[in-house]
Parts: sequence; C-alpha cells; structure tokens
Amino acid sequence: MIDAKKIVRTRHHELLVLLILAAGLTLAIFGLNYRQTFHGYASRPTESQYLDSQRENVRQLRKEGDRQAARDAAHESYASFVKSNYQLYFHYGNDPMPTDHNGLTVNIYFILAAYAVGVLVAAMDGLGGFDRFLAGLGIARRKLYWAKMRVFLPLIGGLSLAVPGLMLILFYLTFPARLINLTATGMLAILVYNFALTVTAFIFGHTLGQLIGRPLVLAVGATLLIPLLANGLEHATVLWSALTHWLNIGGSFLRPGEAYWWLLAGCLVVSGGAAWLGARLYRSVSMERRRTLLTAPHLRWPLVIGVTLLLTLNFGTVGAHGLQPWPTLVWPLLGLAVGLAWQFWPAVTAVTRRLQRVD
Amino acid sequence: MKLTAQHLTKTIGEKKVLSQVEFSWQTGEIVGLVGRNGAGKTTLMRTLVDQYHADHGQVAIDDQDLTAVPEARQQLIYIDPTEVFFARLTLAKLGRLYALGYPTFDQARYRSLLADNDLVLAQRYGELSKGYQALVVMALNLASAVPLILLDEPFDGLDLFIREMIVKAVIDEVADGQRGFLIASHDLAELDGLADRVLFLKRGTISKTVTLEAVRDEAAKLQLVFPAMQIPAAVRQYGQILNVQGRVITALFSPYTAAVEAALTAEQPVLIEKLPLSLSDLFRSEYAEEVHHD
Repeated sequence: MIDAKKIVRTRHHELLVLLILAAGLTLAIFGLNYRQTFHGYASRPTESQYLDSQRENVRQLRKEGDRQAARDAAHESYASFVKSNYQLYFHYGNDPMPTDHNGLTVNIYFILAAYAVGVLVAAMDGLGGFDRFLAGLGIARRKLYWAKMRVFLPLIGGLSLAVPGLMLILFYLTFPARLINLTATGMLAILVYNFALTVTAFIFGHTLGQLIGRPLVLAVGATLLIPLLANGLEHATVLWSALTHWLNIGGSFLRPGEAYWWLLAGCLVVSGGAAWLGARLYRSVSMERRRTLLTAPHLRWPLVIGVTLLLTLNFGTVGAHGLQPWPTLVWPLLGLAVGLAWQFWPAVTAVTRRLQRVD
Repeated sequence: MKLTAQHLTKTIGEKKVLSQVEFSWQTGEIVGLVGRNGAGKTTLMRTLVDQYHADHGQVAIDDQDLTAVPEARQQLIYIDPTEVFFARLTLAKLGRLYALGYPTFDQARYRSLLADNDLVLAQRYGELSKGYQALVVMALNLASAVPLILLDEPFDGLDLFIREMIVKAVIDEVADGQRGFLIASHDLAELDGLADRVLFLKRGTISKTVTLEAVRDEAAKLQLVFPAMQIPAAVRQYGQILNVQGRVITALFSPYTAAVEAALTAEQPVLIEKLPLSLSDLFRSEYAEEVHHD
C-alpha cells in the first residue's frame, strides 16, 4: 500500500521546514515587539513620580484657565494610568475579538507565508513534474490531493495556534494579570481567527496555483490579490453595514470588529469552496494544460466575474448609500470587455492572419 | 501481463494528436514506437500513464480498466525525461522517493546499478551529464521491478558505450519474460536490433505494426539502375521508392514475389541488387508519400 502522504512529505521536506522557520521568524518579530512593550512597562514612572507629574499638570492647566481639563487630569489614578497605557488589548463594544494594543491578535506575517506556500506547492508540483510522477503511481487523484492537504494543513494549523499561544503564555508569565485584559472567550477568539485565516490562506493559495499555469502571471496575480482582497473586504463590510445595518461599522482582516463572525463564516465558505474546487481541478485537469494561462478553461467567465467584482469593490466609488453608480459601472463594463476579448481572441487572431495572407 | 489500448483518442488544443489508437503489448516483448516529430509518441505514453486524460478510449492491464482500477497502473512505469521534478535531489533521496512510490522497488539493485557506473548517491541528479542522467533513469526503471516499462527516447544524445549498456540491460530484463518494454525512439538503428515488433504512429493512429523478422522474409530492398532517367512504371506500381540518386533507385518491395521480380526484370534494368532491409527503410517507406520523386 503506497503512503501518498509520506511521498508528499519527502518531496516537500524543505518547504515544511521553511514553514516552521517562518513561524519562528514571526515569533521573533512579535518577541521583539514584546521586548519593547515590556521594557516600556518596566520603565514606567513610579506612583510618586506620576502623582508629582499629575500635580504639575493640573497646576499648569488651571493657570491656562482650562478648569475642566484640570479636574479630569486630577481624577485619573495611578492604577488607571498604568492600565490605559500598558494594557495589552482594547475592547470595543460587542467585538468578539479584542483589538491589540500591546498584545498580539492577528499574525498577518504567518498568514501571508501560508498563502505563499500554498501557491508555491501547487506551482512546484504542477510545473515541476511532481504531479506527473504522482499520476503514474496508480493512486486516485482525489486521494493524492487530500494527501497533500493532510501533510500541510495540520502543520499550518498547528503553527497558526502555536505562535499566538506562545505569546500569550509569555504575557501571562511576565505581565501583571490586570494588564492582560483578555477573557477566555477573547483568547479563543484570537486563536480561532488566526487558525481560520491561515488555513484558508493556504487552501486558497494552493487552488490559485492549480488554476493559473503561467508562473509569471501566477506570481504577479497572487501578489496583487493580497491588497485587493484586503481593501475589497474593508469596502465590502462598509457597504454591508450601510445597506443592511447588521453591522454598525466595517471591519478589516487585521481588525474584524463586529464583522468577526461574518469573516469566520467567510473563511469557512472560501476554504471549503477552494478545497472542493482544488480537489476537482486535481482530478479533472489533464496535465498537458499545466502550463496554460488557465488550466481549466471552463472557469474563464467565473474568474473574470470574480476579478471584476473585486476591482469594483476596490475602485468603485462608495457614497453614503452604497456604491455610486456611474463611477462604479465602468468596472463591470471593463470586466465584460476583457472577458469577451479573452473569449474571442483566438478567433480574432485567426481571422487577422487569414486577412493578412490574402493581402 | 498484457496492456491493451483501445480507441485511445486525445486532442491537445485544436489538434487531434491521437485518434483511435489500438495496440497491445505484453511482458517478454520489446515493442518499438516510431513516428515523425510531432506524431504523438510522447503523448501516447503520457496518456497510458494518465498524465493526460484520454478524450475517449480505454487502457487496460490484464483486462483491468485503469480508469476503474487505478491501482493496476502500478504495473506500469514511465519516467518522463523532460519533466523530471527531481533535478535538485540527490540520487539517494531519489531512490527513497521511488521506493515510496513503487512498493516493489529494489533499493539494493538501484544502488548496485549506480555503483556499477561510478555514480555516487550523494550526487544531485541535475549535476550529472545527459548520459549519466539517462543511466539513472534506467536504474530507476529497472530497480522498480515493475513489469511494463515505457522508455521515451532512451538513446537520445548518448555515447556508444552508454547506449550499449542500456540495450544490454533491456535485453537482460526481457529474457525471463517477466518484463516488457515499450520504447519510443528516433534511433531506428538501435530499435532495429532490439525490438520484436514496431508500431508506426502516423496521423495520430497506429498505421502499421511490423515484426521485423517477418518483414525481412517477405519483403526486399533493391537497388536498381535503368537505362533511362525516368522511374519505370513497375517500380512505382510494386515498390515504395526510398531514394533516387541520378539513375540509381533504391526501393522497397513488399511483398517481393516472383511476379514482382518478373515485372522488374521486364523493365530491363542495368543493375538489380538486393540490399539489407532495415527499420529505417520501413520508416522511409511508411512516410514516403510526404517526399516527392520525379
């Protein structure tokens, strides 16, 4: 019985190590931030220094005639001062996940690394001929796809939890408990969010790598997608809150706010959809298509529509009641033009060549 | 063990590369696959191992349809010489990878084959010369212990000694009847001495299957010289013109019967000489319609 997972693991040994190193690097980055934060806390003014400074501040404000500000300044206790300046998280309204102040919420570096590795695995295997080797082994392609996922996803998922987990442990070991203003629910929200985004990033990147066969187009497209998706999401949540009132305010990947559950649901849909599509592509795409621009030509229009929607979200003009029609309409029209050009380009060039021969 | 391909059809882009290809091949046989550039030899091999999905048709091993029973594909091995993913791998790691993919892989034999050719396990495949890369591919094929082996241009760019090594290895493997080779090659001279049967791939289909010994019994390659510059009607009628140089005509007559001999004699040739018939001659005659003679 052939162990497909072992074959994939042997082939991608270096990439798996790279993932661990990437996680270690992000841990180092957060470790440096932590060091700075801890240093700032450790060198905070003493209570007597704070009270002296406060008295001087109040005296100055009274001299300037700002009695209200002087009263406010006089009321802030030392404990309150320490908390507001050194607490690790901010909590806004009903946001399930707190916003980081000095703590860690979203490990964006590792999420991007997972996305890049997903793209890389698909491209290396397809363009490098490893998929051809696997195809000849007599294992159903569906099983081969899931063997790849079972090699990478547990490691990626585990590392996505390990980095924030280790940081949280470090905070609890070194900061006063009152400053780690994080409930169990909040902690879980952080871990689940990182896990969901990281796993989704890998699967999405892998499927993208399966879909686009030209390395340069893939590299440029995959890179451009990052700001387009991030920006598009922010605009989408603003639109959603304006149109539905189910959200009070928009969110983003780094600060989801009230859009937290919507984003988690979105991750579930995107990762599930991308995995389903990836498995189907892996099963059905004949490998002579591996170096074509789009390995599955029947997905041309869905791709054009998706990119058009993304560009519309990014560059369409958002007003008080949603997207402004006329500045926004240019993007769907442009998408339609590109799609038609792509669809009929071979026929157009064939006719052009025939006409040139006649001339 | 027998592989059977039926009605295999494959279109790439807008070109129908394979059209209703049918053939069979079994262990104990060395079958050659020849055709002009772009005829579809490599496409056929890639389709047999399901790297390319066939549009229509079936490939079966011992009557097991490989689509329904993909595990049966374990009896087949094809190492694509142009699509090796393992250029950066050491020969040791390469062996481990193939051992994982093919449970019958004989690591000891693989290492022995490499050692016989002064190849070190720590060397990277991509750093080897073309000839040594071909030897490594051959070592992987042989050590896999898989019954049916596909070789795609195994002699391409190799020196005489490495070619002889590969030829000897193929003959030794087939001797006990447990292995079979399907060899796609432009090197007709090598195939001539090696293949039991040769498949001619033409316009996407197997246009002809020849058993070289049988062809040599019934056909003849003649060198003819006639008084006039023109090619006599009997030559055109009964033969395939292989070459014309001045008044010297080289033609293939299949079958070469007494009636054919009489017809040629009636044209009063100045010279009529029988020449050794090779696979190259059969190849030239099969594709002669693409070359015009006056």
